[in-house]
Amino acid sequence: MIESLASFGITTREIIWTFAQLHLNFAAFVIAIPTFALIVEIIGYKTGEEKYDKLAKDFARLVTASLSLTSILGTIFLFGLIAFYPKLFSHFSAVFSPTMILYAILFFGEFFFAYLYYYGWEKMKNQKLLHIIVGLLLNVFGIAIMFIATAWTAYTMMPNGVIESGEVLSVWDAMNNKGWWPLNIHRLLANLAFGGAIVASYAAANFISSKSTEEKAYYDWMGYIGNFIAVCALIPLPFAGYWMGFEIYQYDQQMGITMMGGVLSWAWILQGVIIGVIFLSLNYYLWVGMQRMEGSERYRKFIPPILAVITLCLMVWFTPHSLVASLEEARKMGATYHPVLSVLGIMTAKNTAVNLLLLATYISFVIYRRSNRAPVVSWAKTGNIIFWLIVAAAATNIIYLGVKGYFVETIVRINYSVYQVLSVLFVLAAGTFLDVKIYSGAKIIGQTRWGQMPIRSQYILIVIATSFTWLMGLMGFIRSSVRLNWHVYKILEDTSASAFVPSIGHASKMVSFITIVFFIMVGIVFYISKLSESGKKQTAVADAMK
Amino acid sequence: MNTLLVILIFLLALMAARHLYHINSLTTQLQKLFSNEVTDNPVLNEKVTIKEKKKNPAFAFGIVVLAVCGFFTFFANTIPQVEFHPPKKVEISSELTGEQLVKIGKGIFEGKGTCLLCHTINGDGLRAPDLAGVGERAGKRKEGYSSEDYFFESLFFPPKYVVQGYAPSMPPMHKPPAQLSVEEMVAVIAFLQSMGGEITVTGKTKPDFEKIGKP
Repeated sequence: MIESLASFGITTREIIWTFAQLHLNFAAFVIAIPTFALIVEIIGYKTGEEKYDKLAKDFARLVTASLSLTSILGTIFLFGLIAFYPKLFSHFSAVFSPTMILYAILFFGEFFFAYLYYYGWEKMKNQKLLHIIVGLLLNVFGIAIMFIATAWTAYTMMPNGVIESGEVLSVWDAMNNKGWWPLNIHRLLANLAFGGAIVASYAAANFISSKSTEEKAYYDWMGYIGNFIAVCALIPLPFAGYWMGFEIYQYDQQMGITMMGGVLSWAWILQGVIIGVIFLSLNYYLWVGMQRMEGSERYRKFIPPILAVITLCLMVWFTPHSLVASLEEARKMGATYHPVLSVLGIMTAKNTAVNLLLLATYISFVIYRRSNRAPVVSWAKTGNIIFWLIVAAAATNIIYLGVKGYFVETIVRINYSVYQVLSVLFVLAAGTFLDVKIYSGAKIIGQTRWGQMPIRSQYILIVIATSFTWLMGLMGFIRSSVRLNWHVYKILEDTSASAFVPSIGHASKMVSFITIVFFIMVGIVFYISKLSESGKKQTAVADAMK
Repeated sequence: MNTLLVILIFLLALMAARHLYHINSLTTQLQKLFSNEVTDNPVLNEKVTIKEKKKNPAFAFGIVVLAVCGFFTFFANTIPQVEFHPPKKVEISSELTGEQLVKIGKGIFEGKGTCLLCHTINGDGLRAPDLAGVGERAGKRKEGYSSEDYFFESLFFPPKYVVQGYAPSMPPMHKPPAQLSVEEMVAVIAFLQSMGGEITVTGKTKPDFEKIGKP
């Protein structure tokens, strides 16, 4: 069978890759959506506003439509592993069989609570607290399922609880490996960011096809909420990724260097480009969104300097350490490193750039939030000065540590990145707290004209969703490839014909193919999910936006 | 893979064409062709009806997804294409001399041993010590250790001697992922000794485990 597949130019590795990635995309979606649904439902419950409840229900509908597809893709992935990689699956069964049974049992809970959450929505309208508990349990089951699967994934990179011969010492140690928690946190946040972006793209598609102003207003608002969730999850995401990278280096420096400085180093330049597209798009959406806010004109002057900072940071982010140079060019430079720009290719510059990028995006969001509001507290001016001083101090600290990093030893430089991250986290926490207090009870000086957005803003939401999906595919390729020719690093060698790391060009074609297939499937899911509600749509939307 | 991508692009282009030219489905077109209906429009006088223009989100979605994927794929194919293939087993005869081992050792140093991931030769020595001239330095590192002993110890038990200013991050080379055999290590040592020092190893050389410790 393998030979017959090969005659079509398809390898078993590509089949597994396709189904694993599709399953992962859908799994991320069905785990993240219940989280937003629950949070939005609680907001609706607390504020008494019907539109939040309707939005939460719309989110929940997407889960029920996607759940079966997620399971089907996972099953095909599993059968593929058994059929094409029996040695690997046999090793996995030997190590993880108790967790596999638990994984299967948890699915009963996941399915039960997912369908009860959505189909019981109207029935439990007068028992809102009970319905919220159902939503909470749905999240618990979903996240537990994800944690088990993450342990398996992390084990392949940083195995624990087994010895070199493959003999199992402890199932718990095998699960609780060095990569488990960094990957758990990274995936939780990435799921939220990805799920938010997909929901925003769903809203964008509906906005484009909407006929009435009420529908446009509702979907514009949904797109904003989805995008907001994506931004909130995206901002702490690099820190989780950094933690993951740190654990990889701690576990095995060679693996870390393979990832960052060896065969996969150029993949990070591609990642930089994708991050650039995402951040520019996110910020652009916020800036265009200010057009719907009356009173935002006074803040538009901040957009050019923020754009300048973002562009500069991204240029540093994209700059590689080694250049693609011809022999002649390398001779002129004296090496393959550019005499000036190569200094921007190392981590101290990258860390500085990404932290400033996050700060700039946060500022975009703050000015968006303040667009149509005027503070009424007596200490607003002082509070504002303190807010901007906090931001300035954090930015100064980030730049200072970034420059100083060039003049100290590697181990000291690595520690500086922790302080840079803490600076951003401090601004996020203290700045947000201060901003909320300053604008507590603020006067609304202008309407938010939901639905009055140019169509290009909706295309941007689709760009963001596609970029997130593509980025997930690329990161999956990198995570899988750091193992080089090992199924389980240093424990189980891959001796198949596919035991090599393909080029980034080949990987990009695979990721593009999977992304396109994913969106076709998501399109079908969106279409099916609308069928059940199409008759009641118009009235419900109009009622929700009142 | 390329064929599947082309098919997908063709399908999306078909959707785009339908949207742009506002034509009905193929079956309706065929029905109209074989019916007696004609349009009132004398300019057109075609047996197809023009559908009222409506916004198709699937078209917009598809075009944007395609454009984004296309851009990232294009960029990915313009940057250096690097593959990694597992190293092939190297057969090393015990009859080889030190000089003959140098070339084999250089190949292992640059390939299977993955030494260049961290070490440099006449480079910046950022991650691990630069190895230019190491053949000359090795015999002077530890009291009572020949350069052979020093190199064997460095390969089997790297943390036993770490050059100042560096972290003890080198993995034992006889274990995965490199898993160098003793013969392969001897070849690497020949190469290292050739950089500024005297090549003392041959194909028959074995490590002195009594001195350096048993792995």
